[in-house]
Amino acid sequence: MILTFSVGAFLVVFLIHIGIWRIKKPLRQTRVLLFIFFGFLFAEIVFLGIKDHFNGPVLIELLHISVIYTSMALGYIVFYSAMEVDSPSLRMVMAIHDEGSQGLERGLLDNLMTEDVLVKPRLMDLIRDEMVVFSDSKYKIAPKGRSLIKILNLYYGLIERK
Amino acid sequence: MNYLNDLVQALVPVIGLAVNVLIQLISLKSIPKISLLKTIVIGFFFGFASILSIGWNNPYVLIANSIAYIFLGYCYFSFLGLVDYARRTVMLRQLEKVETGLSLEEISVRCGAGEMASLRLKRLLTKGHITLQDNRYYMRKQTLVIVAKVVTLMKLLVVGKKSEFVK
Repeated sequence: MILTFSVGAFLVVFLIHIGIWRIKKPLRQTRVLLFIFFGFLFAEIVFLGIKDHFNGPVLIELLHISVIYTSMALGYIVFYSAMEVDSPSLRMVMAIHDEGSQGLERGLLDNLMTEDVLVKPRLMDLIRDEMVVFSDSKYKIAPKGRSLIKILNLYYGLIERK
Repeated sequence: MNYLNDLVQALVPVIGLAVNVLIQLISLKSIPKISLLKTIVIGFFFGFASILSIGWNNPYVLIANSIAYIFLGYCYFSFLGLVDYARRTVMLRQLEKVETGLSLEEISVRCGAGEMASLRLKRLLTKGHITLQDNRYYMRKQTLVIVAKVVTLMKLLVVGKKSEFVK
């Protein structure tokens, strides 16, 4: 039961998500993914709980299902965010690979790695996510971005190599 | 007693993640000059070992817990990337320092856009993935080409396009 209602449910929701994306990709994709995955989990827990009257062993089983399903859903959402973005190293590799045996001229590779590729798209992501605002021809950190960086800096203190 | 055992089984992936994080941090602080990546690998294997030692009695539960642990391990790996070197984090750190804000050019200079590219290029050269001859770059190893093709396939399946720069 645990495998079916965690891994099985994850696969069902994954297929639902692919189906929705094929019809129309949402504007705020991460938010919609969170809604689909955790909405389904909530419905599943309520359904299974009511069916088995929420007694002791069932509660532990539901907790186990939630732990496995949540781990997979979060892992997939993180993976999805990484898929949305191009890796600069892989872009370089493919540019060289595409030129075959004649190789890629040094200057051409430098032209591939401009601020339009490395900086601008990530800055636009930050604006979309309300972490950064653009005003008076300048990019400024927004309160949401400041809160995030404070949290990240706390953990950075733990892993910082002097 | 049975309830307690079931409860522990339910929390095994989270216990594995806690072991992973603890061992990763301890190895980072106690082994001199160790790279972040190596500590992530060490932490992951210790966490996995803890899962195997707690949950070996039921194979189906062990499979489910192992899958959950691998996903959680991936989340932690990505979190460390976000904390340490992600381009978005580097930009936010730079913007946090200047109350009046920065222009695009200033952000590029402060975040070292040129440095970012040359650092990656240097890594590809030193690891022997590419080579530089007569001012031209050539492929040497095909490993990253295969990785890039797999990633592109996954992007097509999941995101629906080959690259973020394709409309």
